[in-house]
Amino acid sequence: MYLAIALLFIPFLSAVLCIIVRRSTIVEKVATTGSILTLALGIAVAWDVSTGGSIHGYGGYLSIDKLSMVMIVLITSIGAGAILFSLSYIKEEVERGHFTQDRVRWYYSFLNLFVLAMLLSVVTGNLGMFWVAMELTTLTSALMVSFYRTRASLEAAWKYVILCSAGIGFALLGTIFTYYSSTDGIGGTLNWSILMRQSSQLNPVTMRLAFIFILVGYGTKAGLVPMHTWLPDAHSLAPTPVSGLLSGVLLSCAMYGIIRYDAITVSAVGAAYPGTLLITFGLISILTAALFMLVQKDYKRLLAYSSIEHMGIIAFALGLGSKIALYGAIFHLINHAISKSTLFFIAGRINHIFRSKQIGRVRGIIGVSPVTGAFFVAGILAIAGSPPFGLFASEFIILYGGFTAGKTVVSLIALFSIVMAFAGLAYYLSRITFGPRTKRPISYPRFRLPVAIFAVGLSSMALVGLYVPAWLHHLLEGIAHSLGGA
Amino acid sequence: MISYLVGPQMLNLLGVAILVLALAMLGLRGFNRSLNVYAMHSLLLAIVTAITGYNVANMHVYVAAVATIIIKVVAIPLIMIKLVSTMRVRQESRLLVNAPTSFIIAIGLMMLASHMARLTMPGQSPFETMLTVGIAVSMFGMLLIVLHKDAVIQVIGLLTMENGFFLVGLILTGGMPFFVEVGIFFDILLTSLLLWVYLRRMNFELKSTNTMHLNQLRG
Repeated sequence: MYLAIALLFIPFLSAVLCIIVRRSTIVEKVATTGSILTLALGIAVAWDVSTGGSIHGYGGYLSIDKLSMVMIVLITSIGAGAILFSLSYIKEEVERGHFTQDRVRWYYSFLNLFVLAMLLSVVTGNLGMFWVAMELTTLTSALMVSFYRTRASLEAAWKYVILCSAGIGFALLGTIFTYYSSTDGIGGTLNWSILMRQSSQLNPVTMRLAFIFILVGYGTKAGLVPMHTWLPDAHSLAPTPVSGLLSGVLLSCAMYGIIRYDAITVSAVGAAYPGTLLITFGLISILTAALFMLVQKDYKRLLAYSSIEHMGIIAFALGLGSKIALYGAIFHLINHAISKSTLFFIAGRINHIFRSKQIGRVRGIIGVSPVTGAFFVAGILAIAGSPPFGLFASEFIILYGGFTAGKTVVSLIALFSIVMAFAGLAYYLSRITFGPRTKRPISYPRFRLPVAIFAVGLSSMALVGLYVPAWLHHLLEGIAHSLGGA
Repeated sequence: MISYLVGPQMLNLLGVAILVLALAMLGLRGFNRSLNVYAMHSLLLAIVTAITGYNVANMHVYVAAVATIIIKVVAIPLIMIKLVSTMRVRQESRLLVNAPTSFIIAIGLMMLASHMARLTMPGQSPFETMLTVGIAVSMFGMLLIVLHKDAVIQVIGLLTMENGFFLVGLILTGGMPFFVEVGIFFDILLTSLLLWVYLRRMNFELKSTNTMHLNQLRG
């Protein structure tokens, strides 16, 4: 329990220290140390949970089970990756005059606060606190979306805050309805483990209302179509390390909320109602994202649309609701988080090398920069869902779950959309890799650390795509079981 | 459920007033007028909160009433009016559709809200009325955001939405768990602050808060 408190305290301390010490070299050291310490604590908490079982404390305000544990590991590891990647990225940005040296400390401070808000959302066992933490993630990440102080970034941040605050307002309504539906049977609680255990006591009528509000609310944050319009703007205009966190981790945190509510709703009112809603939203998201991916000109926007596609796949899998589909959903969540954030980091390097975010300007990438180029190609293959990467395995599991559950039509639509998204990405990939080389870019500094981060991210994805280790298999099975997968 | 020994009739009356004010906001054009109406709206909400606090005899509902007055009746409107007065642009918002159409949409939303309220608390006065009002007000807030192409009005829409949610929470739960309530107020305050910063920048950089000028990002 104290480990979990320390886990929240370190990013906070690090955020405060980053503002107090003004020298940018020290700020970087503070941020690096903080992120590594947070990662270590995250792993320690995960170890605690996997050996000693769930952690509960402070009247249910703190509650960590296996699903939260997975989220903690994702947030701390990708958070650490983002901060370590920022070291070289931000230095380069300052050198190019995109922002001034004295704003660097604010950057690291905001980044730490953002990580803190996400951690808060997954360690709390109270769905009301979860709502508060989700709203905090919007605010802290909006500061990063508008960090470049350009007109476009102001526009993106404005849309982001207005739409997500409005959307998440509906999630508050859903939270209130959930509380109300528990007042007669359980006496009013927002603690998800109690709601889960005593779901038969919940009022089914209000729980249905609650779920639709929740799906619209957190669905906005998770980027489900048609509430997704803020997402490509915000994700493409934030500094790239932050884009990685937004796309890879924050969307997963919103999805985590939907997963929790889905489990409660399924056991309170049966699987049909939430299942139909989730499958509908999921399929529309996959299909729309796949269509928009075909017409993108900016590769960061392309990646953002791909995130919408993957969130759609997860929603679809949740809607299927069988144990194997839930297994696939959580597996997909993990794979997407790691692949997408790594790919965003690589895209940041590509942007520095080619000095452009336009797909048309990036040609003959392997010739220009063999190492980063190869990683970029591999990363795009990974998020397109091609073997041997993890996303292929999880998409396969989800579709297998769909077909074996007898939901042939929807599974076929999902399969068709996924193939279309794959085709879109493959088309861009052929242009980027084989196209005629653009004029030689200006020299850029070489860093070792980012390459190491890319290598760790992608090789872990290749590994789980080829072979799921026994501990991971048991973990995913345990989570699918706890979510009520039959 | 809360048993209202004091003031069920008064609550119904206040509920209708809250609804009418929110509806009026849909048709208003000047920024100052909208902000004044918002402040009044919040004041009525604070009165409803105080009455509920008396009925459930719960200290932290009173605290919420006081916080509503400090934050939503005084602080936010004052800060916003001050900001708006520094703007050199025409202080008038443009609607996407004309006022009668927006009222017709509003009536449709009200019927939807009434349906949801009936599902939740059938035939219980004053709960069904208040719940209808709460859900309808939050939907009107959403409508303000969608239909008005002005950043200042969008902020007022967001705040109105939140007033609606607050009312629903109050009526259904008689006060959420304390930490959650504190967290919600904290979030409202931070959101307003952040939007205030963006509005200032918009005013400074674009010389306008018309969101039609925010049109660089498409597709």
